[in-house]
Amino acid sequence: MKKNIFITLLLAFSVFALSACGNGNTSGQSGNNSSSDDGTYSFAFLTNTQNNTFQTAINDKFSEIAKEKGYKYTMLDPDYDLNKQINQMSDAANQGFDAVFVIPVDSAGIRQGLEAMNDKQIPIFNVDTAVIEEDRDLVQSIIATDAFMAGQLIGQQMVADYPEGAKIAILDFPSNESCVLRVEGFLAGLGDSKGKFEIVAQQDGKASLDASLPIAEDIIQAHSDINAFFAINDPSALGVSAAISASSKTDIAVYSIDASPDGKSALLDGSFTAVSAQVPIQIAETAMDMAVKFLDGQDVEKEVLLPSHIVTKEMAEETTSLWQ
Amino acid sequence: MTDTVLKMQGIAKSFGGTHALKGINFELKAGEIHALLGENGAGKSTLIKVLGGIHKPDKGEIHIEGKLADISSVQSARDYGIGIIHQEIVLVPELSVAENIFLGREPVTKWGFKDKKKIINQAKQMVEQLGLDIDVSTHVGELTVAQQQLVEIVKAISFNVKILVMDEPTSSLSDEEVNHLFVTMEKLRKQNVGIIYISHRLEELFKMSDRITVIRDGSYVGTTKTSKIDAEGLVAMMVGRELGSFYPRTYSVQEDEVLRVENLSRDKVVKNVSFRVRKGEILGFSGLVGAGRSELMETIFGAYRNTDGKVTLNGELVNFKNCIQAIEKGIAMVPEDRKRQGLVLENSVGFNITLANLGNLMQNGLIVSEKKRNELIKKYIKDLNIKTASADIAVSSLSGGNQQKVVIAKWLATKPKLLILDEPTRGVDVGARAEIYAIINQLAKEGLAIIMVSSDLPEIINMCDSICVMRNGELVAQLDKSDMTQENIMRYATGG
Amino acid sequence: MNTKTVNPVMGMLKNNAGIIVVLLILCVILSIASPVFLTTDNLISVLRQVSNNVFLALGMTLIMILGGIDLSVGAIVAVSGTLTVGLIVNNGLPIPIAILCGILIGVAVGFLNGLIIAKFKLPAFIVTLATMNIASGIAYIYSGGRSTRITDSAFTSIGTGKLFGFIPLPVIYMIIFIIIFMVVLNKTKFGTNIYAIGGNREAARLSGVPSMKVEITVYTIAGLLAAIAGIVLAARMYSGQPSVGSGYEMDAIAACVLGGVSMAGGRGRISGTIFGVLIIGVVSNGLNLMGVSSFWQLLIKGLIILIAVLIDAQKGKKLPFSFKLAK
Repeated sequence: MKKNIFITLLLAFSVFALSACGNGNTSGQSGNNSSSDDGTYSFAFLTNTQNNTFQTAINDKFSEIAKEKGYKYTMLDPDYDLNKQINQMSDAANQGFDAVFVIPVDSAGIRQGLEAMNDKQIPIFNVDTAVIEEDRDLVQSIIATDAFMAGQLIGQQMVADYPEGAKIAILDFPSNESCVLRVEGFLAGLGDSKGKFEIVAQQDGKASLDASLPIAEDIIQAHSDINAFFAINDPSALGVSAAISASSKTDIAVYSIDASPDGKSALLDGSFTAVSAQVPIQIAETAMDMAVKFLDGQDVEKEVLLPSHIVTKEMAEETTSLWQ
Repeated sequence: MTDTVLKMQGIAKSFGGTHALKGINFELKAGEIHALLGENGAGKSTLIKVLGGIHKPDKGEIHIEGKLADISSVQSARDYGIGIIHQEIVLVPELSVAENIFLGREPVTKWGFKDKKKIINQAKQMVEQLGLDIDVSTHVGELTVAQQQLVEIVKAISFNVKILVMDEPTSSLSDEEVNHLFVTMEKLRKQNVGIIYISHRLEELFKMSDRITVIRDGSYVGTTKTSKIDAEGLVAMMVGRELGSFYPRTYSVQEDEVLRVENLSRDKVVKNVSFRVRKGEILGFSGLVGAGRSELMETIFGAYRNTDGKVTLNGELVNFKNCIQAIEKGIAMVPEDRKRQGLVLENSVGFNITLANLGNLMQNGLIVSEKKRNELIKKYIKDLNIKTASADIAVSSLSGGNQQKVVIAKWLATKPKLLILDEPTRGVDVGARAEIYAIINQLAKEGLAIIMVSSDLPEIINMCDSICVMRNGELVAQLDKSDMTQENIMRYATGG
Repeated sequence: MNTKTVNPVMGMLKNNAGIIVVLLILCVILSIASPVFLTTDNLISVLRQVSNNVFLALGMTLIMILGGIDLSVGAIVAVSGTLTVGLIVNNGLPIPIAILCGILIGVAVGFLNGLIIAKFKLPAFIVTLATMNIASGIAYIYSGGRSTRITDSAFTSIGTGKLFGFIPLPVIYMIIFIIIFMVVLNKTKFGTNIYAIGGNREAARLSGVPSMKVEITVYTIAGLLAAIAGIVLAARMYSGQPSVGSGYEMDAIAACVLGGVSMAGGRGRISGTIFGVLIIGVVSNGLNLMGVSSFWQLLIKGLIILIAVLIDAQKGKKLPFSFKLAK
């Protein structure tokens, strides 16, 4: 008897939960099967995940513009599952959007989905992470932050801060193309002073806080005379700064790329020494602008790299809970 | 009929520093059933493993049909015509009887496929030869344990065995099934197969065997014609001393009622059962396997809920909802299946003895007192004469009899008023069996009310003051001391 | 369960001989490879790093001795940390109340695990797989997928504070919990009941062990520990992160298995698990000190787990064999 009641309750709860999340989705999903017949454009954004403020910032901007201009807009979230993203791409192709924005889960892995789009003559605007060279002809345009430049700016900043050189460690993320470019840019930014900087450790921080924390702790243990860390994004850099405050060292500098809201507050409270910006909101604005231009029959550029910049404390204060 | 097929002489085998066999002699004639008897750990299994090619003897010679044999592997034992039926059944349940018999040596057609027709026909022939009623195309998993055992025998015979070893084949069979097995053994005897028969059930040995060889602690004690010895003599040979009376029952029934069961029912397995047990009384429960005896006991003990009826303990209506309540009120139950229900096998002797009694061993509300715990363990190891190297070794390493004593110790430690013993001597060797009988008798003398469920008729007749017989979940008769005969019990149990 | 009058420390060393040898060999190799490894600072750092896995592995040890498994602990780490930090930062709740809420959600998930597993006799693997997703889902729904930063030192000092200025508080919590769990498992009726249920559920039931109660309690305790781990970790990270904790349950299970806890239930010791945790922690610390790339670290960690379990299995084989001979 008791079992039955329990099961009924559980069932009732799951129905409730289903309908609750159903409501959340319908507003977005209902626009799916529309086309340009009614005069407005319809767009889909194929993201990687919505567990990352960078990507949610792009989504928020897209949806804000769409609302303003009366476009139909849908976001599809594969949660880092490549297979799921390919399926979503072919679904989207069949739904007949006017144009799509894509962040590939894997730069080299979505050719099948791109072809499905091309078959239906849907233009693809590749944002943030670029597809590989061989697939470039399948996308209309690529719009991204200049990752190399972001790294380069941080490298130059470090040279300015340590003119005599320093012992540094790098937390990278080799499985992501953009993050690899950031490290290359950073090394280029060190420029002629490269010889003065000694890289005592370079480890995979997995671009996440909890993975970077113990690695940074161990690096601090192994190299007690370390001067600075460069981490390829804010979560990783926040892990570094947590490791530093757990150690007794206070004079280790942290250099990061992103300037996310969390990163900005870390910059303001002194946990970060310097951070260069990624520009998701600009990416979204530019990509939407180009897509509309293209649909209106104008020519658009094949590749747009949006410049990065060093985020100063003043800038951080002004836009403290926002991206740029 | 009198050719010797097997002669083992001076077989010795040691593992590390332990001498498992110290010069065993054994002889088997064609068409003979020769019982091999000894307490658990006496070396029977090791001797059989030597014969089966699993162990190589350190010393000694094996002659088969007069020729010196070199049994170096399981395969060569088979080539010499030796078949062994182990205690555990080793058939594949998903395959048919016929497929099991020919497993690994299936005849094939000229196309290389399994020749199913041939397999079935040959298997059928073999089964019929032994006068068995088994459909060879059924899956082994659907057969009863007894039928599976018979399939094992057919499989062994199919290798043209001259020597067949049967290791406790009857331990899990009902009386009827045992009789069927005996008929089959007689048939084999007529085919001139020599059978080495291992069993703890003395009655079976007296009924079936021609000769009996006794071994003790790895040593050869002697061989005797079955007709020239009685049970007490055999037990004396096995344990190396006189045991006194095997069943030491002294009458001790008092007037005070401990348990009253009225119209107790549980679904379809226990129907409308009523009886009572008094202080100092040993009440027996007999019946065929599946008659509902264990189910009745589990219901009284609260392991399962009753659907109807009343249980009264010491004048108080109880009807337990779970075992915890039953234990609190002073009921203890030694369950039917020691390994599955009675013991946490991989844990220590001490762990098992104190398991049901930790509540009384606290030094404060939370922590178990090591001192009290060790004292209790020591007391019961001594009182029940549990043979164990220490209280800390795994209970699985003890012999069956000593394992059973551990279960009994666990329950005595709870200071029960009613002790339920379900098959207390199953798989227990003769020496330990006598000790367990003495313990049970002593407990009754001290005023404990005891219920004893047993399929062993001599045991139940000799130990109990009164016997309830069950059939199909119902209590069909309660027999007094004067009416307790094997015939009477079987008549009520089978409804014949 | 216990040896009689043998020195408990010696007993512990003897019981874990195999894994201690593995740990010592690792320490020797690592101290040769990196001069920093054996410094006090680094060893304290190792202890602080393993403390998180210790919380989870303690609960997992109890569950695995019981014959179960709990895949949801990693997700509980995420949900408790996210919720606690979120309630402080976004809702302005007082810190103690927010912590209580974080702990309660872990306890609730653990209790739900135990209730469903014990009452409906469902496989723990499936049930906790489901609650893992539920807990993780709650963390994401509550936080909207975003991490929440917290700099209030009244909260972060839970994870970053130090006793006498050099022993990190997480290490202190860890030691306290280890002692409590050793006593519970070895010295109480509750602990004995866990072994009995894991060793032979039917025999335990017939011996009057309240198996349902014990089972529910054990899963609830594991949920509680995971929630504490989540809050301490959030304090150390200065943030509540919904994505944290995935795979933590596997590290806990690996530590238990390394420490000789049987996947089939009935066997295992807290001391063994602790050595298991230490092996995993020491390996990743040592490899980081040496600057070994994370791809190689994965491979090396896998190999070490395999080797340690193999060594342990050899030890296990010998024992029952010698028992047989003694008989």
